Amino acid sequence: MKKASGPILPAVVAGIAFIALWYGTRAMISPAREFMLPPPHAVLQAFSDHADELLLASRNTAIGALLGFGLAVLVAGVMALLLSLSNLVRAALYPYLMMMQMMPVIVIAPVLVLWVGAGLPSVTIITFLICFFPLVVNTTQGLISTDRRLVELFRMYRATKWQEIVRLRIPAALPYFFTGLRIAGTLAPIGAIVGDFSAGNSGGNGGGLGFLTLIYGAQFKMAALFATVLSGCILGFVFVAAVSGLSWLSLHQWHDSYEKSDN
Amino acid sequence: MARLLRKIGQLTLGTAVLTGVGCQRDSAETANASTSLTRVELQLDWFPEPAHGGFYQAAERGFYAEVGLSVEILPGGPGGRPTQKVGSGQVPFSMGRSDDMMLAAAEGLPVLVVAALMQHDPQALLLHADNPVETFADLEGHAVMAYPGSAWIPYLQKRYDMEFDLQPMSFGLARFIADPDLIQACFVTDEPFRLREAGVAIKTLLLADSGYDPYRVMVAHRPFAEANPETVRAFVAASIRGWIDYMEGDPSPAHERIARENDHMTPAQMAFSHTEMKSRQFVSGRSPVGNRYGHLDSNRLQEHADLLHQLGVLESPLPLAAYADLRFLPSNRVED
Repeated sequence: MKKASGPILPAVVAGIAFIALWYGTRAMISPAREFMLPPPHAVLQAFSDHADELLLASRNTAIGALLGFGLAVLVAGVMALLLSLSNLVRAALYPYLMMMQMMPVIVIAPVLVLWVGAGLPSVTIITFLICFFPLVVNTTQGLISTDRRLVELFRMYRATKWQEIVRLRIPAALPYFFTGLRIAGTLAPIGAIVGDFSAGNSGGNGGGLGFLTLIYGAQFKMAALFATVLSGCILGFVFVAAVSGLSWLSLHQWHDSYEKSDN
Repeated sequence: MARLLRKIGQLTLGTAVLTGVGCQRDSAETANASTSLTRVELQLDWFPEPAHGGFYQAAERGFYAEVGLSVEILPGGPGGRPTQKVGSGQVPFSMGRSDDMMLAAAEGLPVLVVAALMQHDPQALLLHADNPVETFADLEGHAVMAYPGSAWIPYLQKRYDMEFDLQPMSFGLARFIADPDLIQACFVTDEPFRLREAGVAIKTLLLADSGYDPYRVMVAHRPFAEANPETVRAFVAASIRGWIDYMEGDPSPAHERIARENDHMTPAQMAFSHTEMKSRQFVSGRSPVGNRYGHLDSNRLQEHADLLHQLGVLESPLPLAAYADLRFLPSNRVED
């Protein structure tokens, strides 16, 4: 993993510059408008003041994100296999998959709440809807992009259709699948937060980060709002890190993209 | 670097400068108001409706022009955030609930309560007629759809020592109609009419009856009010006059204007809202000593701020001067 140590320094420098810019901008703001941009240390302070609330909300959002994400992986996997089987199936279903992606969450949320109830069920389905499309599109593309020569090789040796799928097409589709998974990984926490925002429920263990956003917003707690954003970012990073780790585990031994090189 | 920062600062402040230009004009020009009116904006909290009637009445009857103002009334809607707009100086005037203004001021938003709009808030809980919940105390264990973060929520939970689930507001009544158990926040002057039209039997619990009784208020951007006290005074006086005229006189000038600006407002709906506001004395108040249009009582405000502090919604006590200034009220509308 020689590559990993390289990008750290520039990222740290950019981070410091960003914080300096933040403080600088705030210094330019007239006192009457200071509430609009809390300084970084106030955000950290709010982060620690509301730590319990934020942690619980992050946990609730993480659960919704994981459930929706997992469901999307399962359904997208099956759906991609189905779509890869024939051009006819693809032509028949593709427009409707697109439509699923086009559905605005804020429009669908009240309907979902009616159907499955507010809170975790709705949050899970909204996350699913947001994650599903990049997964199914990338995985399908992977399944139909198998090297022709390898397919011919399999057929020459009279491999069954099943063997062709399990031994050849699925492994060859993995890099595509992980590309979709990475996109879905960044979307899952956002989906869960949006879901919570429009179809959440404070019951049980309390709401998630979307719910906190509503509360802090209604109470004009700007620093706490920024702290909520930060929590959402951290959650997103955890998801992406987990997906990247998984991708590395399954691909690094054989796929070109993980080939060790200094270029 | 420093120059870059200054540039960014200037960009951020651009809107403030623009507002400032408008402010400087008025002191010189209010003298000959007939030739040139001072332009100010009022940000509403929702789509035009009878709950804004007095402002439209003042505009249509020329009350604003009489005091040298040309008031542009800006409609709101879900996510309109009038308090943020008046706090950031994008508009000089807006409206809202007095408890929200206390929270905003405590968080450093330069907002200033300058007059009452309604003595009592029409916000209520909306229930199906056959819902077993009859009083606030019965809410225990139920789910209520409302704006999370509203201060009446911890008030009810503490006063009646109960827990109820909250769900964020979805705008519209489809879910209420479909779900016989749903309880949601409403304006008692608005949703009940539409539901009865749709044939849904309902009942309401007025939040003011629980003892949680904030004002609805007119709000000014504090730096604007400090720089332009005469403009604020004129706006307050003409607005109160508009509200008295709207509630006591013929409301049709306001209703005709509202109907033009909001296609969903039917004459029947507006008549219902007007009747509800009048019979429940939201605007005039329920005081036995006569109407209290615009009137603010410093004791009542302070008691409410103290209540919010006791509830833990306000982290520290908030003095009146931090969020309100009663000196903009006409002299006969201040204290008894």
